[in-house]
Order: sequence, then C-alpha cells, then structure tokens
Amino acid sequence: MEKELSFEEALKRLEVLVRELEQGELPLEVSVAKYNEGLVLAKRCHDLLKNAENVVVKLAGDEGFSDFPKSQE
Amino acid sequence: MERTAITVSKLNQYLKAKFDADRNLSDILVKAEISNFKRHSRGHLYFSLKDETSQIAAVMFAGNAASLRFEPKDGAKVLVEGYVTVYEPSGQYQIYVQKMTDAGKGDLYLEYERLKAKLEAEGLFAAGRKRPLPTFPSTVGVITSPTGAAVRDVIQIIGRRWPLTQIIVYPALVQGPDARDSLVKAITRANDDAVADVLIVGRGGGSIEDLWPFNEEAVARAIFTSRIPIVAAVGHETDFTIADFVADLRAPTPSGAAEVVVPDRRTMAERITVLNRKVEYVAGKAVAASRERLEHLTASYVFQNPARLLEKAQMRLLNLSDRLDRMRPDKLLAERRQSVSLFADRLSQRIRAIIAASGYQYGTTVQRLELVNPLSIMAKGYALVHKNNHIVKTVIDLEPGDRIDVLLADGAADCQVMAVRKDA
Repeated sequence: MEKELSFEEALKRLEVLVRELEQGELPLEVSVAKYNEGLVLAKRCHDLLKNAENVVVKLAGDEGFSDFPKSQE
Repeated sequence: MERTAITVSKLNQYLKAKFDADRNLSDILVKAEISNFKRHSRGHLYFSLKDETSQIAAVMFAGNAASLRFEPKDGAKVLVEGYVTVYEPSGQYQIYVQKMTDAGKGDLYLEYERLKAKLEAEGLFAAGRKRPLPTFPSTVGVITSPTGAAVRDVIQIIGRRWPLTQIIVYPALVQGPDARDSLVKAITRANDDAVADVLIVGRGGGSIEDLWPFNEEAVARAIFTSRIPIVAAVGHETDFTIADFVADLRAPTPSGAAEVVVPDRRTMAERITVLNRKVEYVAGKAVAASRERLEHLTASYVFQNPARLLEKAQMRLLNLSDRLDRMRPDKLLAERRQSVSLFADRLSQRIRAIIAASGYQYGTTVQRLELVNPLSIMAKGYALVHKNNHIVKTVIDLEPGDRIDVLLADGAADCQVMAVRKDA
C-alpha cells in the first residue's frame, strides 16, 4: 500500500473493504488479507487526523501565493 | 434655602417645553426598523423604531398614515420624518411620524426583484445545476476581505474541524462601489488557478446597502460560470441575496460556510473507529465461520479415523495379495510337501497302529518261537551234532572215526567219534 494514500482514498478503500467483507462470500485467506489491509487503512486515517498540523493558509496575491499573515486582529 | 415641591404635571409640562424648544427635535429624519407595530381602530399607528441597540416609541396619526405607499410591519426598514416631544399624561417622549418610506423597498429593492426574476427565468437558480460539494476538499478558496472578521472565522473553524485541508484567501472588496468588480475578479482568478476544490464567497453581516455587491448581476454571473462549486456566505439571516440563489449552496454566515465545506475530524475519527470495528467484526466472523466449517469437517469419522478411508481398498488388497500369496510356487510346494508328510505321518501312524494292534500276537508268537529255538535249548546244556552239515539224530548214522561237529550254545567243537554204542 502506498504511503501517500490521502485520507479520502484511505477512507473509500476502507469502506469498500467493509462492504466486501460484509457480503461474506470471500475465501478465508482473502478475508484475512482484507482484514489486515483494513486495519492498516484505519490506522492511516487515524494517524492523518491525529497528526494534522495547523491548517495551511495562503494569500493569493499578484505574485502568486504567499503565507497568510498569522494574525489580523 | 427652602425648597418648593412641584407637581408631576408641572414637571412634564416643563420637559415638554424643553423638547419643543429644541429645533433639532422639531424636524428630524430617522433610519430605523419597525417593531411592536399596532394599528389602532381609528387608523392611528403605534409602533417602535429601533436599531441594534436602542429604540424609541413612535406614533403616526391616521391623517398622516393615509398617505403611506406601503404596508408597514414589524421588521420593515423605514425612513421616517417627524418631531419628538413629550406625551404629558405618561411622561414619555416619542416621535410623531409625519412621513414614512420603506427604506428596504426603494430603488434597490425594485432592482433586486427585477434581476432576480430575470436570472431565475434564465435558469441560473435551477436546482438541477447545483453541484455537490467535495466531501474532503484538499484546498478551500475563500473570497472575502482579508482583514475582516469573516476570514478569521473561516480559518479558525476549518483549522479546528479539518486541518488536512489548505486554505487560499482570495482577497476581495466586499462593500462599496468597487466591490462588484473585485468579487468578479477574485472568482475568475480562483478558477484560473484551479487549485481550490470549493470556494466560499461572502462577508459578515451588514445593511442591505453593504451587502449590495452580492446582488449585482456581474457577481451572479461569475458565480454561475465558476467551474469550482461555490458556497455563498453573506452574513444575514432574513433576506437572500442574488448570490445566495445562484451559488451551489447557501450558508447564513461565513462561519456556517466553513462548517459545511469540510468534515469534522472528530466525527470522522468516530466513523473510522466504527469501520475499524466492522472490519474486525466481519473478518472475525468470516474466520469463525471457516473455523466452524473446518471443525465440522475434522469431526467427521474419516478425519477422526483416517484409516477407514482406506479400509475398503485395504481389505480388497489384502484379499488379493492373500490369494496371490497362495499361488506362490514355494508355498504350493510346501503345501504339497506338507500334504505328503501328512500322508506319510498318517501312513506311519496307521502302520504303528497296525503294528500295535498286532503286537500281542507277535509277542506270543515270538515266545512260542523261543520255545522251539534250538539255541535256547542248547543254552540249557543241550548240543547239536552235525555230520556233513546234517543234524545227527540217531547213533545209527554214526560210525567210529566219523568227523562230527558238536554245536553248543556259544560255539562248536570239531570232534571224532571214538565208539558207537546203541542204547537198547
């Protein structure tokens, strides 16, 4: 599994896995493989949420994007 | 100095005189919102005029009210002309309205209605053209004033809810004569950049004049032609701007827009947890089902006693090899040999039986034979006389000088006859 999987991709894949598993017609070894993949995906999603830093804010100027001034107060 | 008490009537009379003497209060123009509106049976109108922080009682007499060109009601924004004085019986000061116009339904209102009807007819508001917003935008574009409270609210809320996204602020003027072109330019720019997955276009609350740029046709068309879905976020609760109608989604405030464009990390974390549990549960169930099947199979007699699976074949094999074995030449030979020896045994048994049966007879025969055995007689001292290998039984056959053999039990003596004497 690629490390670059975005949250959305990981979540979609996870949902597909659950659907496939729920249909319950998979051979055992496939179920186990999907189970393992599901755990990895869920961890990836949790990690993305947990490790998310502060939101990146850019200001679109004439010269392209620059950092948005931290405080406008 | 002795103080003199006055009556309430005198006091109110005095105050009324003060109000009436003030020229600023005798002819005033007030911008306000109507509340507590009541129409008296005689045609007088009683209501309050207010703004965000303050209010004043108002009365419009039937004579003046007859000339109204709109239907006043609570919440209506109005422009009133009149004077302020004190109503002595109650000691209240109030505004006596002589003229009143609907500030919300001026030229701007007519223009709004005209444009709304036109764009609606063109299909700019059609529900069918509203695009769904991306669930997980990687970039949110915010078109608003970069210095207002609105942009701060949006950044704060998105940062709290979904920091996985990036925000690009496209600065725009949101009020004043240049706001229209500035908004159009920012929307066009965002589409040219094509970085944002969704755009928030808006500003904080304000008067209808302040919000007017969002009722401009050019802004409406820019929103309509945007390839990026747009959430309109003009801070007002009661009225809709044209921008609200055209946008893919309308939020009541910029904060509200921030809430709808991104998911909430806590909700999403819970969803992941649920999915995670589902995976564990469902996969666990699959494993359990397989295990059960396996156990069911292994519990069957063939697995409990695998030899049985081979029993039939083994039996047949044994049977065949037995039969084959019996055909082995050495075995056959041995068998024959065995039967031969069996016969031999039986024969010798038979013989022995015969012999045994005839044993007695034999014994007696031998005994009888013994009796006549000359040797056994000789053992008693008797002797046999042979002459020329014939037994001599009488002396008649003997003459002196004959050579005879005298046989004793244990040997023989070679003798010569000396004399012959015949007993009488």
